[in-house]
Amino acid sequence: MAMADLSYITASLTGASVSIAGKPVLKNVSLTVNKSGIVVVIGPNGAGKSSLLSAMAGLLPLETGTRQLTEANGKDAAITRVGYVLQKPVLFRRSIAGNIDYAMDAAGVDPALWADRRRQVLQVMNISQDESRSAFHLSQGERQRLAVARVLAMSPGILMLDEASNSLDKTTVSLLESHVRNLADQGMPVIWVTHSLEQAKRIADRVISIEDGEIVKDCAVGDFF
Amino acid sequence: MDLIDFFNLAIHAIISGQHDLFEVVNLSLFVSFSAVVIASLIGIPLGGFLATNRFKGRSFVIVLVNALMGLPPVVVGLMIYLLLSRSGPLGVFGLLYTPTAMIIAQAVLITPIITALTRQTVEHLSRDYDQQLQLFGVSPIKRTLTLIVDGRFELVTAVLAGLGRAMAEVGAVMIVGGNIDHFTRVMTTTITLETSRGNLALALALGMILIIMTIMINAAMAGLRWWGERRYGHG
Repeated sequence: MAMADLSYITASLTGASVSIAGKPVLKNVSLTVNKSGIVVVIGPNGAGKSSLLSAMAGLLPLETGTRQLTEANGKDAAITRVGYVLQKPVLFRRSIAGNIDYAMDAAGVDPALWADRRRQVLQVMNISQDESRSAFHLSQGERQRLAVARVLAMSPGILMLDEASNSLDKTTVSLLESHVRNLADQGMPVIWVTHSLEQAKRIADRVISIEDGEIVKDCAVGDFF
Repeated sequence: MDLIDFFNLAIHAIISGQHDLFEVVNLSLFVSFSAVVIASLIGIPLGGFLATNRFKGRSFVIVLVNALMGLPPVVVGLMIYLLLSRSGPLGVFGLLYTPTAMIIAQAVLITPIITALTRQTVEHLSRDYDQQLQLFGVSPIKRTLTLIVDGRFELVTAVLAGLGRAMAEVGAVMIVGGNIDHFTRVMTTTITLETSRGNLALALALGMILIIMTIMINAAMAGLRWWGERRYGHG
C-alpha cells in the first residue's frame, strides 16, 4: 500500500498525569513519538500501557500536563489522523465494506478512492471474505484484522496499536508485523502496546517500559534486550 | 346463546367478510400505523439525542419522558379535545371527530414510549461505541445517527411497543374521534359500543381480529429483529 506520499504527525505528552475513577494510572509522563520506526510499549498488566496510548490519542482527559498531536507543518492534527486500534475494537453492525467506508468518510477520504483503497487494505490484512458480508460473521481474528484495515484506510499520520495482535493466529501476526514494518520504513511513526517481550524483540526500534503509571525505561531496542 | 354460539357467530362474521367489519379494521390499522410513523419520526431522534447529549436538565427530561409513558389515554383525549374543539386554539382546522384527530391523540400517547425506549437502546449501545466514535472524530449528530442506525433492530421493539399501545387504545380515540359510524369507528371503540349494546358476536369477532393482528405484527417484527441480529449482530 502506497503511503509514502502522506505526511506523518508527532504525538507527545509532557508531564501528563491521568486518573481513572480516582486511581492514578499515569504519573507525570513525558514522551514524544515523532520519528519513523516502531515504538513498543511494554509492561505488566495494569501498568498503564493502554492508558498511555489513550492519553496520547486524546481519549483520556489529562489531570496535569499537556498533549499534542502535531502535523509536519506545525499545525494541530485532528484525532482522525491517529490510526488507533483499540484492544477490543468495535465493529459497526454493517458490512465489511460499510465499516471501512465509515472510517474513510470520517477521515475525509475522497469517495472516488474508497473502492480501490478498500480492496488494498483488505488484501493487506488478508481478509478474503466478500466485502458485502456482515462484519458480525467474521471470526475474532478477522474482526481484529478488519479493525486494523479500517484504520489503514484512513491514511493515518501515526499508528497506535493497543494489543492489536492479541486475537490473531501466527500467520496473521506475521503479516501484520511485516505490514506495520513496511509502514514504519516508509516513515510512519508507530506505537505498539504489547505484553509480549518476544514480539517487542521482533518488531521494536525503540522500547518503552512502563510500570505503575511511570516510564521506567525508554531506549533503543538493542539497549533493552 | 352460550359462549360457543358467540364464537361461531364471530367466526362467521369474519369469514363472510362483512363490509362494516373490515371498514373498521382498515381504519384502525390506518390510524395506528400513521400514529406510529409520526411518533417514530419524533421519538427516535429525540431518544437518540437524549442518549448521546449531556445538558442541564437532562435528568429531569428523562424522568419526564419516562413518566409520560404512563399517560392516561382519556386525559390525552381530553387535552387533544380541548385543543381541537371549536373554541380551542386549533379549532379553526376543524379536526375534531376526524381520523386525523385520532392519529394526533395516539401519536401523543406513544411518542414518549418510543422516545424512552430509544434512549435506553442508544445509551446502551453508546457505551460500547463511545471510544471508537471518538477516534473517528464524528460530529454529535453523526454520532447519534450512527447509534440509531446500528441499533435499528433493537429499535424495532420500541416501535412495536408503541404500535401495541396504539392498537389497544380506546379512551383517547373515543373522545376525539367520537366513534362515528363509517367515519371514526375503530376496532376498540366498536368493541366497547357493541358490548354495551349486547352484540357480543361482533365485539368478539373484532376482538379476535385485534388479537390475531397483534400476534401477526409482533411475529413479523420479531422475525425482522431476529433476521437483522443474525445478519448484522447484536449488543
